[in-house]
Amino acid sequence: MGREQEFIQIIKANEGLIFKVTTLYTNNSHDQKDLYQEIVYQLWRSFDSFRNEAKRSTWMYKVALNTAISQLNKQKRKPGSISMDLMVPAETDSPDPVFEERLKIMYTCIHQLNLLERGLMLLLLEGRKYDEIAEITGLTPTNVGTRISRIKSKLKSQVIKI
Amino acid sequence: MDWEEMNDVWSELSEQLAYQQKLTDKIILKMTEARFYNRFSRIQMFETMGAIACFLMALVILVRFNELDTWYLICSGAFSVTYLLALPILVLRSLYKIQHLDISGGSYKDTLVRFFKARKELLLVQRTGIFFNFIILLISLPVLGKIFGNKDIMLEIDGWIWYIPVIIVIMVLISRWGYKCYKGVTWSAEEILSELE
Repeated sequence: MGREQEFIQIIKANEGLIFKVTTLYTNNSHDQKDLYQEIVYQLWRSFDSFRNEAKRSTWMYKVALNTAISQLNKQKRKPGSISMDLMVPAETDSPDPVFEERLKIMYTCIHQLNLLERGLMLLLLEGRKYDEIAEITGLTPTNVGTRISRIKSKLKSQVIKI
Repeated sequence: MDWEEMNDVWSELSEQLAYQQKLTDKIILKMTEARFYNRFSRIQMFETMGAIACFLMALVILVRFNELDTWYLICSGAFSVTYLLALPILVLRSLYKIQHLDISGGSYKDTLVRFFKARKELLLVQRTGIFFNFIILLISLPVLGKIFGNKDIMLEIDGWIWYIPVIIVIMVLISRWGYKCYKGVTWSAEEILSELE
């Protein structure tokens, strides 16, 4: 299989992961699409290094989160983005209004967190172990544990307010 | 909603997303293409603004062309108008060519060949433009003096001669900066192409 084809397959298999990262780090569909595009591009750029080193999911989370944070820091939209209306899953395409409402509440809670906390939250919800979260974020596993406990308490108080 | 519930919502979301494969091979390649185009968008914006300024200046000269009353003013005016219309078109055309390179069509080798050809043309137009800018500076000065100051500077050159070195220094600085930007952008675009290998 060619390198390009291998990359395309990986991206296709992990669209959901990229979608979730873009949802947590943007506030509107325009920025979300732009971030989605940038993450795919950055993954392509770092594709070689992944093949020799890390586990696929670790590599993807690392690149996606780093891109999301750096993109937010730039605070400006890049011109010339291509139309991606069909590329990014539109919300969840869920016909269930109750689920949509719960999802909305969850996003609102997560958006209250700071950038690092959002990343930790995402990784935790994705079922990643503390060691892997530590590898992705650059924190120590102990630090990850402490921060996650704080996030949970923070979220609890936010959920009560909502 | 507590932590457990949040986990449930997330799992349900993940399940739904797993069935929503919307990206196609073509779209993924298009994303890389979009990044390539972005490298040129800033330059294109400046060039478009510059082109509008040149066209407006050409229009002003054309509208007041009858005020140019000597043979050398008429020649300078005609040359200035031609230059002010032709150069921006050439620059925008070469920029368009490199910006609209079809990355996803054809082999990598073909893409690179087309890119290097387009880059060579773009940089050549830039270098030619820089060279002619100095000539146009000297040629258009009498025209501008006549149109904006109603003075024939060929007859009263002493009062104007000091402007020339000042403008030349400014132009050298701007030209160097501009050409450096072009080189930087084309190198960065080349880097993107080489990543497609």
